[in-house]
Amino acid sequence: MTLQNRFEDNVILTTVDAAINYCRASSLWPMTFGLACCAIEMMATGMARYDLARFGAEVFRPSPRQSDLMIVAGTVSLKMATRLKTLYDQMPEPRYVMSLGSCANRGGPYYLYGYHVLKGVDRIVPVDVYVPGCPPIPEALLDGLMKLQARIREEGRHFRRLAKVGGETQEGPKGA
Amino acid sequence: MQYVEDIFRTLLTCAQGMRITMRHLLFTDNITVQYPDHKRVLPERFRGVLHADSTKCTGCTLCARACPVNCIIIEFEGKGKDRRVARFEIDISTCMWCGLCVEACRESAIETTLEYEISCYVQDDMRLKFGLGPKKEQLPAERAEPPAPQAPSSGQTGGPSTPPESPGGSAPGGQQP
Amino acid sequence: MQPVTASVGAPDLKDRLDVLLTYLPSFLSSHGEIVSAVFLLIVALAVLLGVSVYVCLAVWLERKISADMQDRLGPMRVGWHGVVQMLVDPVKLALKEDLCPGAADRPFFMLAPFVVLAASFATFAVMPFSAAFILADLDIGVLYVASVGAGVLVGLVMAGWASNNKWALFSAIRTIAMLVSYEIPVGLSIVTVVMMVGSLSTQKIVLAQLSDAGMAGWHLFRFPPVFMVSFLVFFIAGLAEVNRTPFDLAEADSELVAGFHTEYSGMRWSFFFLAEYADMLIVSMLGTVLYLGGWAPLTVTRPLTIDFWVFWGMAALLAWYLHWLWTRIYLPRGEYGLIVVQTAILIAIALALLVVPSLAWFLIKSLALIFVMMWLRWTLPRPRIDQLMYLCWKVLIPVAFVNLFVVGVMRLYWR
Repeated sequence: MTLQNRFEDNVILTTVDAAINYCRASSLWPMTFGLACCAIEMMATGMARYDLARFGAEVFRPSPRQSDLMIVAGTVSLKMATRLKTLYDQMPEPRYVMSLGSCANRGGPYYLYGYHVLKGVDRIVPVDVYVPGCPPIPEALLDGLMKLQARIREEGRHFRRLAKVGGETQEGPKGA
Repeated sequence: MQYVEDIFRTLLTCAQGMRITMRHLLFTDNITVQYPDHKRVLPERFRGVLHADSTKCTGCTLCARACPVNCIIIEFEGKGKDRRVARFEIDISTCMWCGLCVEACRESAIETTLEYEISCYVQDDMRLKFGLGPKKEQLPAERAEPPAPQAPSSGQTGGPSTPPESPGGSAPGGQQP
Repeated sequence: MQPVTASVGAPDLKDRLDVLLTYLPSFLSSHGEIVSAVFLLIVALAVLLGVSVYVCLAVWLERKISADMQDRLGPMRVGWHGVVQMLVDPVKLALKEDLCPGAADRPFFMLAPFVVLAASFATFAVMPFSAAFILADLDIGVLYVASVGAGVLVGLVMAGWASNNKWALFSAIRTIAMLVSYEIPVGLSIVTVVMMVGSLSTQKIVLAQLSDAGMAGWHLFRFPPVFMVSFLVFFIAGLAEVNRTPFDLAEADSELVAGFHTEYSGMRWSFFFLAEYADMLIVSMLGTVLYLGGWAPLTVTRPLTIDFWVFWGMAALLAWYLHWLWTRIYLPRGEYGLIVVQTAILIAIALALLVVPSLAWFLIKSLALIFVMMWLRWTLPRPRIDQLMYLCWKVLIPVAFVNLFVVGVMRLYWR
């Protein structure tokens, strides 16, 4: 919240913060954006057995302008990386990124010899939650989504978002 | 006449489709497994996150060599009889769940678990650090802490729910300082 | 300091109040138009608020219904069965960053959502909610709906052009092609009804269908199957008018990213969304007014009429279904909350039918049509743009013309 630096935390502000964060966490609309096999698992997550809709997150918006969450599902080739960065830049705040699968986390199978693969999507966009797996099963994606929601609910109290890319301390504790 | 026939077929097929959706709306039960509350029974040979049993590990590095992406990092210290595993890490951010390391291990020290809830907030949490082998425990005086991981200060990140280590093998310097 | 000003201000305020109370009645009685204007404003705001509430509810319902049609559950974790979802989404959208692309035509880009919203909300003015509850009973009511509703087109084209985005522009072109084409079958179907009634006023159209026979008086059952075909043409073309799946070519997300609202975010995008659902309601209400008797209640208490059989037959069907649902699905799962809520909804509907029968019947008929729209949306795939044009120009318009001709001939020889 922008108010964070101007006022001391008080009951009203923290309550409003909590309510807003609850709204944001409960209505995470992902972008229709799949890159590789992890996207298949992402689609499976949206289907009947796992049902992303239960979290209010089934509204896959085709346009980055209307989406809150970018699920980077799959191998980010260097050619795609520029597009991915563009798409991320097109998303309005507040925006969140989930790195789904080993490829997005650190290049995965292409870690050693993948001359064409970005070794970790966190090199170009700040990632909020990493979901390991190759590909992660739908439950793992849901687990990642819930952890992201838990983090959004804590936003402004224990976390602050720093738009710093690539560093491991991109999200730090408030007091640090 | 094709034209009229097309119109009627369109209406008919629409009605058929609508009948199907209505049947699913009214009579078919939904099949959703409500994940955090109910969990699917995973198949027996499900390949979840890797777990290394440090009591069994001999430090032969076969698993590390079998790994196609070098995500298993084993470091040694000492020479000759004192040679022991100083660091056993599996970087699941790179791991591709192929299970080659499991097949390579002669001692069945490294194996896949049914664990999959391992999402985390920082890259470093995906570096699973397993305790040191039993040889280490025999030499408490020389115990060297593994290189202090760039661990997140606890409390904020929640931490990955790594598979619990077997009690016998939990040596100092585990994954959570 | 505070108490002093208060004590000084109090008599002052009281004096003013006295003056106001003394002169207000005489002022109002001499300026009756102000009273009626204020009253109209309040009613209009109530309608506006009601439509907004309906949109929130409809979005949630659509998510639940679509989920159930796909054997899913839909929103479950945000409040009880995801009920809070309908509050959460607007708040999130309102708090989202409001982006305007650098290359966009800024004034038009900013204005377009409001044009769309205003055009679609303005049409509610002539909707006869009941015999008395109508904001403006215009003589040209149906024409007003058709023409002001076409204002949506202007907004959409504005949005598509001002975004300076090729997808948005393509979508705007498609929107023009589609909406202008589909205005014709809609207009022709409306004309059939207007020919029967001899008036464009929505209220008079409803009154023409109001009879002791109830359902038999509806235009839908006039000269069967002529008006049924007319209703079908109206409904299909109406679906296309509101850009509703299966005719959502303008925002086909597999072809054009998100259509004319590709570049819109946050609140402005939610205005488009609001307008789309409001448009759905308008088409449903218009269909109800034109064909389904508007607010004319069914004569359900008179035994052995068609209405009696239809209503109580459907009630019996519903009772059988709920019995099946509750005993087979809910009770074994212990979902008592759902049973309680469904019972409460049924009781509320019954009460509404008893207390405000006209309004309740009007809303029930409209919402039933909206349900059919949702049903169609989650059943049918999207046609190609040329198939859409074929449907309009080669099927709907000829059929509508034949209909019009038949109705004209009937009308000529009926009287």
